[in-house]
Amino acid sequence: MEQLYKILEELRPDVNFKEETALIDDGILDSFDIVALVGEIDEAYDIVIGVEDLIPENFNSVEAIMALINRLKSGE
Amino acid sequence: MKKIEDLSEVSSLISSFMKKNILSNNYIMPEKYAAYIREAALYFEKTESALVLFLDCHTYWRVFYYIKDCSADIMLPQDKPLAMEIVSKPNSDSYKKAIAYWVSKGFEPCIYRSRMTATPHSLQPIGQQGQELTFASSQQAEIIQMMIAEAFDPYFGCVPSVPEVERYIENKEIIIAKGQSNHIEGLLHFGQKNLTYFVWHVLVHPNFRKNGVAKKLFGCFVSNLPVSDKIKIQLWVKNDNNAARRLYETLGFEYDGWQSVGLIKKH
Repeated sequence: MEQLYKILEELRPDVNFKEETALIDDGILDSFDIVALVGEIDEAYDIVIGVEDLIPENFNSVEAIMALINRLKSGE
Repeated sequence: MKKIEDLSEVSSLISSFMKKNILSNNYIMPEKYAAYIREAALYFEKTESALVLFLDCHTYWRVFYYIKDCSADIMLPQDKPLAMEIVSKPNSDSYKKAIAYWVSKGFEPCIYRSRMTATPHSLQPIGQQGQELTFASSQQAEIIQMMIAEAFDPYFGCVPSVPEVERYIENKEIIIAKGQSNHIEGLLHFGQKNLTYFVWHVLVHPNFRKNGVAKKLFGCFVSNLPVSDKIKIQLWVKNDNNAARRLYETLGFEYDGWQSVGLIKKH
């Protein structure tokens, strides 16, 4: 989780990711951020986030992003 | 060039390119892909080191790319102009590299823009007296479409078709200013996604400029926003449009760090 926080904080130092739970619904992250984020996550966790995974539910909070990473790592 | 038939095809095409340090201008989200595929408008060319998606915009191709290395070569369609937009934070090496790559392929940078953001609270209070400000009605769709098409860039100005304007009018997304002559003196077109409002088009007819019409349109727009601390308003402004930029700054918008360049290749 710390690695993910580090990626997010580098991407958007202006956002408190520990408190925000509606990153997409509240418009905190937009499509530019998500595409940059996906590249970083793919590289850091050696996974492939597919286009079909680019849905708000997967990016609304740090927990949701971590759950997506874990799902993809376990091959679900 | 091959047509893309379904979303899973997009996924398998893109998967090996969704990596850090790969040059890309592709910010398309799944719902947009689905619409483009439904319209049979999305095509691609792929090599080991590059993937380019082409969206058929009738009079031109919109280009979305992934470039793994700058020696990559790719076949480009020759039948109509090609247009692409590269969006970035300032001083990004990948932004400069991508522009240099496409310039070497015959593209010319032609429009530079900056994104500005405000919240309803950061906007200055604006009076709305002097003009009649209302949401547009369906009978005005054609004239509104013509006004937008005349005022905005055909490749990068998000110029809508008449049916699209009709849909925006139905959704109450176009505010117009009418003067005593009953002519449309100006309009503001906006959209919304979650809590972010996007101002797509603001224009004032040349005969009615310098009368505060744009300010009043913004005043009407803001007064119709729901009350929430989390709402933000975004717009893109051309870097050389000093009058518009000054207006937005006066209203309370600030440059938020995103910039874009539009490039064109005409054969």
